Amino acid sequence: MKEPTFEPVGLHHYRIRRTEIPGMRVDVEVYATEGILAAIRADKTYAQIVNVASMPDVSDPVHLMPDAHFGYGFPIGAVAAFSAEDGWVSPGGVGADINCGVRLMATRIPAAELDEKNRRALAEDIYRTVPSGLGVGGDVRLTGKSLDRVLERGAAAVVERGYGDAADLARIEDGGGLAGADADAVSAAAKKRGETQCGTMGAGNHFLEVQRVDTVFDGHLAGSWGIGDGMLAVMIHSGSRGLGYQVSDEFWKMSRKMLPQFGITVADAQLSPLPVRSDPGKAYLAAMRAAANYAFANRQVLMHLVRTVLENFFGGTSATLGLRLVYDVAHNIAKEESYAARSTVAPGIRKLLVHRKGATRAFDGQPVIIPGDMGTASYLLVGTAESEKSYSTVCHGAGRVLSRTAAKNRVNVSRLLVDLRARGIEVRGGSKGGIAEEAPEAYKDIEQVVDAVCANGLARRVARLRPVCVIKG
Amino acid sequence: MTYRFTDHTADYGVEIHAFTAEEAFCDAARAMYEILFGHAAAELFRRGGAGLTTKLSLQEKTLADLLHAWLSWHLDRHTQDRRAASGWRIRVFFRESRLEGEVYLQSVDELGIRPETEIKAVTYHDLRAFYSLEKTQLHYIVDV
Repeated sequence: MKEPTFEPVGLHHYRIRRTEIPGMRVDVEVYATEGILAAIRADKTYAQIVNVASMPDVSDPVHLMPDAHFGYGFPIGAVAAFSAEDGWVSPGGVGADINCGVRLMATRIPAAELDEKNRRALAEDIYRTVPSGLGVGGDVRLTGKSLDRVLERGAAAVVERGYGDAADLARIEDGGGLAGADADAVSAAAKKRGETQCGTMGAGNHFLEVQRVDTVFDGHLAGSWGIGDGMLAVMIHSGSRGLGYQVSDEFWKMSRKMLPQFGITVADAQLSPLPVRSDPGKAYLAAMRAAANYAFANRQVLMHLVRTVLENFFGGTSATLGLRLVYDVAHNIAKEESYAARSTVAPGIRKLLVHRKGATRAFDGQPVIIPGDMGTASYLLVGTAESEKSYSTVCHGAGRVLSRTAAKNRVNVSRLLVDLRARGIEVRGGSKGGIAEEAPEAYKDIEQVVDAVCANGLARRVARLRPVCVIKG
Repeated sequence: MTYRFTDHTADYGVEIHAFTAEEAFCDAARAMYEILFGHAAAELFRRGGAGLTTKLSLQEKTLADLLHAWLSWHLDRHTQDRRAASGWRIRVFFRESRLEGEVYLQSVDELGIRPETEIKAVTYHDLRAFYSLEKTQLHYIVDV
């Protein structure tokens, strides 16, 4: 595919017009600084978003967030919507890790209490307590009805078992449980993989960080969410684990095989969609929501484990230490939402199925959590009314800029760990290779990513957080 | 060895060039085990031919889909049964997109090898299979 023209339409905002590439049905809105645009052009992310913009019945426009990079099927950082009533759902557009997402917990523990010795001890305690890495199971065993309850009710099902409290649920996207989930739509193979993985972090780019609130941009809002300048916070990034991968894999295969029946073509087999009205489409949505609920429960248990560590380490209770969930939000998901139709011929409200692949929902006033890399910073933003133009969506992180292979070849892990320790960051991880792949230089500059989002009015800065203890899978 | 890893921003791509379809499919699986187990994959293949013998028969519409099915079968054995293939004897009927043969599966716990990278799935993105009487070229991407 030839490189399309990125037409500048505003500060950190470009457009690929539908007339640029044959087959495109809608425009692509690209939110990027000049530096980020260069990365998008270098790794040909544009080819994948053009394929998405060429899908049948896709709503106008599709969006590419500033953390975008090359993926498979949908690029990472892609947002596309289809009619929720008679459109399509693309299992490949959600990705393998259904409801991979992030949660942030505030504390009233001053970061100054953590000297180097304490930092090491705290990192060790969390690393020992929170199951992480490949093939590592957790203490929560879910079988039969107990697993079905998690699949259909999400975080509430594990709160009832003592992992956290009911107040947490109000601070999770959709209360930690998506309606329309059906445990019967999840295969036995997927359920088997989910029996021992609830409350495990996993590997890859999943992480758990103790962070220090470094800068507060909106004191009123930060305060109302329990975030205080100079205090510690905890960020958790994980998803639906093997259960979600299994659900995705099964439906990818199904949608690929069924595509010829629907009389449509897609530029990339990975994009193969299912009609939302069809039985397979309904089954996918029911299974995807069940896997999403498992992910909410997973992060709830992980947070509970960290709460326990902090209570023991600092000597207090959740209440006295201010261990309060700020928010939990998904960034690999398809959600039914209503938006004003752009059409002047048929104005009104349209129910859309918004696909977010490596992209975060950002409703007006909603906390938006944007993790950076292990050496720089993460951001807490707030969604705006203006974000409706991007289907109320912003980026999901810094976004990779180096391939895993390149990062492994370039990064000297021993030197990196020494350097990070000198900067007050303690890292624990399952493997040196895993740490190398996730090194700071493998990611884009989070400041540029957040600049692009805020300049376009999609969100506003609330606080910046710096890593203190980093636990990698 | 007829495979090499191709650069991909977030995941792993594998390109295979071989004389025969059998050789290409074997190396496609070997490459995936190398991603999974790193250097420990060598320990797995050193046991070649040992373990539980499982008969396998796969039929798809295209050779690319057959490659996907072959790799997914191995990944499923690993994720669902904690087994990995130490060897195999297969025949690929590339005109019919059919694979027949037997695979020797070993318990990864008994072998004492641990995965280094979590493979979430074999993707359909940029899944390619080119074949002729002289050569077979394959390409696939796994989500990690």
